[in-house]
Amino acid sequence: MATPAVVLEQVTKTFAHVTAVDGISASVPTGCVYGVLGANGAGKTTTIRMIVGILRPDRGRLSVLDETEPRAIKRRLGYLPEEKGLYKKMRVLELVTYFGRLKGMPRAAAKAAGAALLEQFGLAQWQDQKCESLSKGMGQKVQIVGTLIHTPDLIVLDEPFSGLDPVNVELVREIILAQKAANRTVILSTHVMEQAEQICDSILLINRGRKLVDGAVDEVRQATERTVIVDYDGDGSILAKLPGVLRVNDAGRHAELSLSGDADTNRLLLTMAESLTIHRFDTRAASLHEVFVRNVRADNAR
Amino acid sequence: MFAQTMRVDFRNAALVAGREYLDNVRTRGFWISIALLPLLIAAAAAIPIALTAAEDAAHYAVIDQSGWVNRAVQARILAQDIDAALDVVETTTAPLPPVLAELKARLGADGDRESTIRAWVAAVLQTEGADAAADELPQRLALWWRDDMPAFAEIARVVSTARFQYVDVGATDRGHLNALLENEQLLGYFVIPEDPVAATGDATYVTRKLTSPELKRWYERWITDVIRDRRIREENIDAGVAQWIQAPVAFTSIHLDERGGESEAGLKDTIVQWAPVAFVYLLWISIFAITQMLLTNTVEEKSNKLVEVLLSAIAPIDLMAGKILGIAATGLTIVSTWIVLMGALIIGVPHMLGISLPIDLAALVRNPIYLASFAVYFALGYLFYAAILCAIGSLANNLKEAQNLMMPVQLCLVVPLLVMVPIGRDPNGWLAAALSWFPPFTPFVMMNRAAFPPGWITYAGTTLLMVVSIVVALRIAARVFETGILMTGQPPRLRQLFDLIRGRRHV
Repeated sequence: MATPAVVLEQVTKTFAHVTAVDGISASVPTGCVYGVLGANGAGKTTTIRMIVGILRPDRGRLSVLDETEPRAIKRRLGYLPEEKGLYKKMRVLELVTYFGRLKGMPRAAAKAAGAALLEQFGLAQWQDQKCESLSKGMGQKVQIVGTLIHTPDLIVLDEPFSGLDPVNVELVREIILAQKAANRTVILSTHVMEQAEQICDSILLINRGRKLVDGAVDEVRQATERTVIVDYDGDGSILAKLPGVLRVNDAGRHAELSLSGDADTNRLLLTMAESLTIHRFDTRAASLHEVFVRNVRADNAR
Repeated sequence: MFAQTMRVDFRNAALVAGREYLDNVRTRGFWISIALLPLLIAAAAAIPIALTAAEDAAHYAVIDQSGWVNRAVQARILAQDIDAALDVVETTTAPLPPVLAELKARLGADGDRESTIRAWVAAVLQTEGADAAADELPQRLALWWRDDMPAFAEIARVVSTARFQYVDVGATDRGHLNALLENEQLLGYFVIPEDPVAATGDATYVTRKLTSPELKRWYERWITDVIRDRRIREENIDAGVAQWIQAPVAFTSIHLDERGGESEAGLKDTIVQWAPVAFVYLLWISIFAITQMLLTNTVEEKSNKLVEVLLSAIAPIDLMAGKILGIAATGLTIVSTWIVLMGALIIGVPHMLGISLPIDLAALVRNPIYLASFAVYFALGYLFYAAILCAIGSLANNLKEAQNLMMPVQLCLVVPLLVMVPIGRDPNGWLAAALSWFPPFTPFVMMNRAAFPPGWITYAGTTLLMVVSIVVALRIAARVFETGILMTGQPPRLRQLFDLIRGRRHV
């Protein structure tokens, strides 16, 4: 296996009185989509800012693309921060060219690459417009073009889906997968577990600055107790009282039950069917949502 | 680690600077700034003229119980206006009204033109209405002035001393005049006693506006001249003797230059001495305006949410250096346009109007010590204050916060303005010497002293100190900027700021 794209070893970052990241160790495999997950304020953005070299760890070791000095890899890195903005008065192509040049590209190459990417993203006819005339979705695409213009080896996206409509969510997802297909590493942060489950190969789950779980998504899910997905009609309050059920994520007509290790799913189904109309009964590994909720709750209770 | 972060990558800085420059040059504010100074100068020239033109002359009336004093006063005023008009018409090549042409020819190179005119005018006024004028020209002159003057409004505007216009209401009744005061047809009126030559105790001025005593002072001056002349005549004092008695004592200023040479000090020396003050002012405005631009720009950079993207590509110090250079380029474009425009105005306008200035202002502007000092002290002052304002801008989330943080800097910047005149008066005094060594003031104070430059040791020493201060300021600013530019929420308190500067980078 290739060397990991990013390695964090006991990385710690403290601000005035808050330890935002507390001794996190993790490894991001090259060529995968890696999710940094956590509730708001868990330390995702701080972790990401350290990876892209904007912040430096107070303690611990951080190596990105085999380098420990952030300056060395700035040109191989594409970063889309959570707070997204554009220079309003600049024209679209001019702006992405500027980003390319900041990443060390010669002017002509940056301009050509920018124009090609804008074309690919369906923004060709906007390239001479001022950025202030763009809609939010278009603006975000332009920012992504700015992030990818220099074909970086490592792409870091902080909350790339926030504030996007479903069409643009789909577009961003396609972009991420295309990068992965080209064997580039994508690190993204999100607090929407469904999205992470669909797109990420590996994850790092953090809470209050500390790592709770990390690893390949499938492994993380398997490591947590089995769950049953139930679609039903009727009074769902009985679900939590069933034998072998530890916890219920009940959405009203759809519920995820997490089971104890020795739970008998056949008996569970029979008991359930006595009082509810069952449309679907599906045993499976825990969803990332379940993994997230269970770990975070346990951690917060500590 | 700091050795790393303190190294500027000039390619990156140049990229940032180039973008800043283009972004600024494309704003309306930039072109407004460029046009502002010439517009201000034009306005400064045009507004007084427009105001004078628009201003209704204040009217006054006189109850003259002596029967002759006011007439003598009016004759003198008229004579002076005509004399001033002659001064103007002498320099123009435009065709003169016949009466002035005739007058000019008649007077020739006559020494005391004003007294001659005054005598004529007095004679005319004495006999007004009658056609018994002894000399036809004086009468035509007076009538022309009175009746045709509006046609020469341009000349009148320039020369008129008659900001206050006499209205002959023909009344001796104070009640009537008081009514005119009430409805503001008059600014005031004077009551001249029967025999003001003997005693002026009863002389009275009546007005509703005691806050503007100009009219009273102005008329008093005229009437004093008239009465004094009459007294001299009545006492049979020879006019020459009287003049001799009244002649004031005036000292001639001699300017002793560095080589011990003596020359008569005149207007030129005064201007040379005070020219640096103009440069200090320009320097101050330039530095203030341009660093203010940098501050606004940094705050905006923070709010447009691109900082993180930039910092993922380049080091904070590259960004800061790029901003300082880019805004400097913008500012220099504005300031040098100003200087060129002002030079053009100083040299070009007098040339255009065909007027020659009493002194060679152009040579003054070209004097290398002024422009060189200006260039050097602009660079030093700008870098020093740019460092501070960049740091402040990085800490503030909006302009209001920035203004609060600016307070100490603004207080600091007031000092050079306060000491500008005292230092101009005594360019090598203790105040100037002391403040030269205080880096926040060095550029302004040294510019201020340019007319009488101190020794090279002062120049070298203060410049060295300034350069060291700039390096220190830039380093501190870089530390603050690095953290500040990413900060949100409350700007740090003083204590946290010190931690930041000391390199404990937790905020």
